[in-house]
Amino acid sequence: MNTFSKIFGVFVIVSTLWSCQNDAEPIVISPEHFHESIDRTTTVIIHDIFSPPVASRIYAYPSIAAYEILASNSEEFTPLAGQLNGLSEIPNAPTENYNPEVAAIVAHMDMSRRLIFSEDMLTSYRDSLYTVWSDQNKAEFETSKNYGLEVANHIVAWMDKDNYKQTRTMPKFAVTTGDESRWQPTPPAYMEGIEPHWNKIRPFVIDSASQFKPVPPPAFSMEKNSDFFKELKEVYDISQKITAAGDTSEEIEIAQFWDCNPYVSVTRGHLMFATKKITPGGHWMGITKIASQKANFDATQTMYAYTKASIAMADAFISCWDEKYRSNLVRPETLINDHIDDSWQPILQTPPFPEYVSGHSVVSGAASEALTSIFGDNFSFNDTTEIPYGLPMRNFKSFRQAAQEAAISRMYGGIHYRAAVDNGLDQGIALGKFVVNALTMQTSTQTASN
Amino acid sequence: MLLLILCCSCKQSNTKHTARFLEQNLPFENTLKNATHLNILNYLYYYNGGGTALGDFNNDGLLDIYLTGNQTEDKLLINKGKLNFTSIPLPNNSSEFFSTGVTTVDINNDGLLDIYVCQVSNLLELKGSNRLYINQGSTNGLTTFIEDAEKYGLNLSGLFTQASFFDYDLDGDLDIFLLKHSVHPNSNYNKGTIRYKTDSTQGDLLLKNVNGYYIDNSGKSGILQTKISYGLGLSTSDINNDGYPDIYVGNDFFENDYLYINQKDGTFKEFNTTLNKLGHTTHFSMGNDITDLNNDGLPDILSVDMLPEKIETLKAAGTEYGYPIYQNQLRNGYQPQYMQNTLHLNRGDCTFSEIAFQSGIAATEWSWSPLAADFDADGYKDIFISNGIAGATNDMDFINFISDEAIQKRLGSGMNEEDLQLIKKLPSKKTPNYFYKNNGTIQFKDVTQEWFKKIPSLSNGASYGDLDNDGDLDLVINNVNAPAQLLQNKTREKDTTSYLKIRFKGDATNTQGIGAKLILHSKGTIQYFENSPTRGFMSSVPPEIVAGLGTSTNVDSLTVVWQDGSFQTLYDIASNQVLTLYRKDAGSNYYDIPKLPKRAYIKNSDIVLPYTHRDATSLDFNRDPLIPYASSNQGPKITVGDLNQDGLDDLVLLGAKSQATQISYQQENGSFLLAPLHKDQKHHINEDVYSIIFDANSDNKNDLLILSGGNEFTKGKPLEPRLYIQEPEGLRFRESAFSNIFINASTASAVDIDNDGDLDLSISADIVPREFGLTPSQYLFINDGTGNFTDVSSTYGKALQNVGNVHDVQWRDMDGNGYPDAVLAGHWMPITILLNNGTRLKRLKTNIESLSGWWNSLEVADFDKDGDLDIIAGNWGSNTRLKATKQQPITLYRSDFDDNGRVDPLVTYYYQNQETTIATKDELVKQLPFINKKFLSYNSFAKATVDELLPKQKLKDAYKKEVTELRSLYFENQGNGNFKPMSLPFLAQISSVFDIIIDDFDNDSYPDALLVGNNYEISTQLGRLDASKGLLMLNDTKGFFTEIHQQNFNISGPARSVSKLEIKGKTHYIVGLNSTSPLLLQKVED
Repeated sequence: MNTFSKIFGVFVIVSTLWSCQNDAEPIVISPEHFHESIDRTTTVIIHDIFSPPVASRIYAYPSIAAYEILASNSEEFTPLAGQLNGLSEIPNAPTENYNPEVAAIVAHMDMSRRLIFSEDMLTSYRDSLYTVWSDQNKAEFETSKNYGLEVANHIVAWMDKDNYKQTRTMPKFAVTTGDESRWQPTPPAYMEGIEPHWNKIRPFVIDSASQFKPVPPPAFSMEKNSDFFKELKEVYDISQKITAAGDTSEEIEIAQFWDCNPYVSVTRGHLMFATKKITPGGHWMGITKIASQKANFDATQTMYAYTKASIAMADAFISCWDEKYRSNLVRPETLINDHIDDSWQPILQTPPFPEYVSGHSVVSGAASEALTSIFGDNFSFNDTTEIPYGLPMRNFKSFRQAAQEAAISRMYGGIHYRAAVDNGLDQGIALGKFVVNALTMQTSTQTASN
Repeated sequence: MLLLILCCSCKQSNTKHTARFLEQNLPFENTLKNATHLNILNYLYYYNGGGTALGDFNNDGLLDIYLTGNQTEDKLLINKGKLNFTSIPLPNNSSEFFSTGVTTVDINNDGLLDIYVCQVSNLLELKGSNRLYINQGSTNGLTTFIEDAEKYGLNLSGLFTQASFFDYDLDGDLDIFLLKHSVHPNSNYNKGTIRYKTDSTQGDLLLKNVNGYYIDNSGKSGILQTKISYGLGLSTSDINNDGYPDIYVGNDFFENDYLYINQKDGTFKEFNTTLNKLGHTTHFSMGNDITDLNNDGLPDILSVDMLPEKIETLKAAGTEYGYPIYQNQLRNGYQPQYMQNTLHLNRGDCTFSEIAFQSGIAATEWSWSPLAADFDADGYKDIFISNGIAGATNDMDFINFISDEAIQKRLGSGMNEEDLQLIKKLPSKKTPNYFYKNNGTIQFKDVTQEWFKKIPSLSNGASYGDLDNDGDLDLVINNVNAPAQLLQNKTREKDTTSYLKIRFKGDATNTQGIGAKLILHSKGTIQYFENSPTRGFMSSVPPEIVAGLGTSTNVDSLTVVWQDGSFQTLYDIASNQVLTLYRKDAGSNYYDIPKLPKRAYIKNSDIVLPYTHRDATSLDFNRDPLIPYASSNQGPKITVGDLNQDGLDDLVLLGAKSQATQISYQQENGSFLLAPLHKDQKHHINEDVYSIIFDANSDNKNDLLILSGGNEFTKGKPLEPRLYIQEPEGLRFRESAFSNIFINASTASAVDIDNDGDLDLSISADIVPREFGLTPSQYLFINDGTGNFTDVSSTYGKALQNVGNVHDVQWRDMDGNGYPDAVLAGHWMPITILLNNGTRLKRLKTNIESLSGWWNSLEVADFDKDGDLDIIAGNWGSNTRLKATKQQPITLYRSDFDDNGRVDPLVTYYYQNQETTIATKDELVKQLPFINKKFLSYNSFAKATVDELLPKQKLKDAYKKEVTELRSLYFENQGNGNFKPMSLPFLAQISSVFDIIIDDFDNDSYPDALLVGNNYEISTQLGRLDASKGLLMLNDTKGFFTEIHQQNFNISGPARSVSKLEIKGKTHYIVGLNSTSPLLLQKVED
């Protein structure tokens, strides 16, 4: 060791000692840290263009990791170990120099980082927090961080058995027949059907992907008097009416507000690209944030809300996708172009998977039940989630009202028939209620009844 | 120091003075400045550039130059000699007019060349209409023009790209085809039937000349006028050599290119969409050129696209959709199109083979103008291609960048000055223009560096002509944001080549003799030209021909055929002169002369079998998106033999999955009667791929063995070989024969392996179902004489059992010991010989073990009559981007790269000396999402090597196989396990060869070969193998073969098998085609 490094070495030791002596202040984690971590994850989900089902998985696991840490340390809440399919108890928490909220936010950020592609979009923020916390109380930070990462590893080991990796190499969805009733890729990007094997993902609470199998859609028929054709015509007529009313009509505002399509393809010449937006899951995570803030929830209560909502939505996607590739129904755009109006375009871009049932309807139904069980039924809120995407705020009297609007928005948007919207909402509500009843998250029941 | 560098560079440039072309800037620059009202994001063809026309406007014997400008004024440069130019003013020439294509024509037949300029108008703020400059002649050395388009009915407005003047109805005057492009949102392709809806603003136009006024005749003439035609390329040429000019239109994006064949009644029929005569075309078609590139007297079609040659550009660019989505486009009514240049070799009778990859010209970056002409005057036409794009909107990283929501909102809500900054982020892909030298065998060598230099540019319309009157072709190139260039050709100064320049004096209503053809015979070679000025991209060449003659001092004969059919032949013409030909000197009609019939060996038969093979869409790419080709399309073999003891050849017509196999019984009168194989069609679920007719139970009656495969089932009944024994009441299924033996079969042979007088069986497999590249088991069965077969694969057949992915076997006595030996062809393996000593098979050590291929077929015969057996083997061919050698093989890695319990088959090949995956980033990350974590940008992916992309240890431990040879070869047996491999002729390599039949087609007692093939179910990154039309190779009796270029038969489509049969005493051949009806050919006996 030369002189320089000796001096440097001494300096490091001194500075370490100095920081140790000044670590009296505890690290304070506010609910905003959790909101921020989720918001940033949403930003990366948009950037990396994860599809709605995959995004729901990215929201659920980090939330569960954080929740398990917080609930294990809470009188008010009960951990989910033993309640979610295959989840075992997390490792025991340290006894000294331990801050469960630090461990929880570390676990959340680390899980999120693992699940997305563009890690640097999360790690720079994480590192800046780490520096602050380390300066505030190095011992508490290190202990809590290490525990948070240990829990993350525990959750990852559980997550890795959910069949996600296996579904990556399962056969892509094949369109091989000329059967007109079957789904086929839609303009303008003609993407292949996404996640045809999502029903093989291990659900969190429901017994199987088909537990909330909806009634079948009206039998396919292009006979003018058939129920199916009437529903097809209804999509077209509503669209024509709305379009005539112009961009400022309530229906168009509703359709755009709830679009939540993470991949809207735009073409200019040889240039084809996607405009990126939040997913339905992302929108409801936004609503959860708004509600938690309005209710002045602390960190643990906040993560309770996120966790419950994200679990309900993740299972809703599994349930919904199970039906999508079972009924494998053609989108209105395909049939309207072929039979009614070859230049018709839906107000929203048709997303790349079969029509029945409406994903947004199922997911919104499930999410609204989860949030109602936490915040109560007549919980009004100003939904500002879409403001960063150039859309105005909308006010809702209740989560259920929001879910109903989200469902009907798909018809206004021209991407779903009525049956998919109505039956989808029913399916989501039933699934949401099941999740709420199945999970014991609060030690004593304090919520408003639903 | 600085001086030193300068000196060095001086010296260098001096030594490089041997370049064929010397560059000179012209006083014109097509400057484009994106503005809020007009830019690359609101007009998709903003950067397409301008055109070039060459012509002698003042009749001083010197070619002048017309250059169009988009946002600048056009410029007419008069040649003052010694390549000095002076510009002259033009009326109505404004930078407000967005000029595009330019062509010359003597529209008023006064002997003075006029100019027609297309333009983009009625779009955004662009106004005006196409302009026609009428040449007023020259006074005091100044040539003047008036703009008079209205008088001729040619002052049209719209999205015009280019015009071609030609006499389509042979009434003696020049009509016009007007090419337009479209601004229809180009990803919404919807149904292809939209092309039959007329769109007056964006559809192409055919105008008929009626007494000097142009009348729209599009509707009546069968021209498609659709909003989905993004017309960028236009040529007119007599493609089918019937005396009537045809039209080729290159359409950008998803719409098909149009090949309009003149119906001789004032109408055209589009042959690409309706008859798929082109196989596949350029996907993003830009300019095109039609001329004879292989000196066979037939015009070939050259069309350019935007396939990058540089590997990093290639891997960072958007490429074709994956196979399943691509199928959707085909189902919607579009023809196969791929991002590559195409060269459609004219095989006669409107038959074409697309050979751009094999010819070496498939990838020339974002290309605009292909010009095929003999630039080095050696008698073979070379190719110049201009390229470069100021805004490369296919750069995937830019696409990701602009996808950002915030940017989108700004673009959506009307652009402002600040937003134009975004356009600056668009990568500008300046690339060197290409020169390709024709080596005389229609294979081209990139000579850009030797002939000129590799300087990056944004080059669009270009034209060639002899501007300095030295007898070679100079080039003029219109560039975006840089001066136009003149490339002076120094060939005549450099080499001792000669030339012949021909000018045309036509009739009063076609003074330039447009449409005249020139056929030049010299030293046994032919050169063929057409006087069609519109060529390349937005450009036109002078109405004259400059023919390079190499070292010849004269031309043996020259025939000119005028558009009206009259012709004149001149003999023994001295080279190095300008020859003017006069229409008035020509007579009679060229097309009335009976053509000497070509010697035919086989011809298509009129017999049609009422049977269609129906193979379902391949699911292979849904299961394994990373594989290079499917394995589910291998049938049908059509087997010939007498199945009802009437002495006539019957046919076994195999059914694909869910289709019953049938037998077609030949009747005395030569017709065929279709009958079910069996009363109970319970095996229709099987995909039957192969059958053999043989006497299984030694009762002198033919029995039948049927094999199934198809990569559909992994095991079970649908993969059991089925033996049908001939009983008095017909064929009876012997269920017990091969029960519980599951083979995804490829081929089989009935052969007396042990010389005991009965027929034993070898049954081969090409794949383990759904496990791409894994080695399946091969089978050998010994017959007890009564049709009971014992599996001896692990004993007698031990050397055979794991030999590889076998596609073909021939049992022939190679070593003369009296026992038949096995000669095997397969994928990922060499041609392998297993010698048979009567008790077991033993692998023969040969010198060709390193030639591992994707061998589909082989045949064995003593071709050179030296007493031993030689081998012809059919392989993948040379007509895709794939190349394979021992040093740079194609490699299969099978590994569970992402630890999900499923093996991913990954195939790599070498491109520009770098190992790279066939699959694109988008395909790879769907299977292996971790790659997205490692390589976020396309740019970083493009730079990564295979072992940076994938875990090194996984690659090392992977199950690996290699291919080191893709060409189809002839192996001349030289004894002792030594074979001399020789590449089969050019046309044998243009597609995959699936089957070969040996026969003496020319009755000279030497065995010849007929090759059939093609493969449509390959990765869309590799295009489609559809160039084979069947190939007859005649034994040249000197140890090799001669290919027949223009043949009197046509085997288009995915041929899988060819078998010989006799119908009413005449030799026929039947070709099994995948998913379509079989084809019958008849041998021509002379």
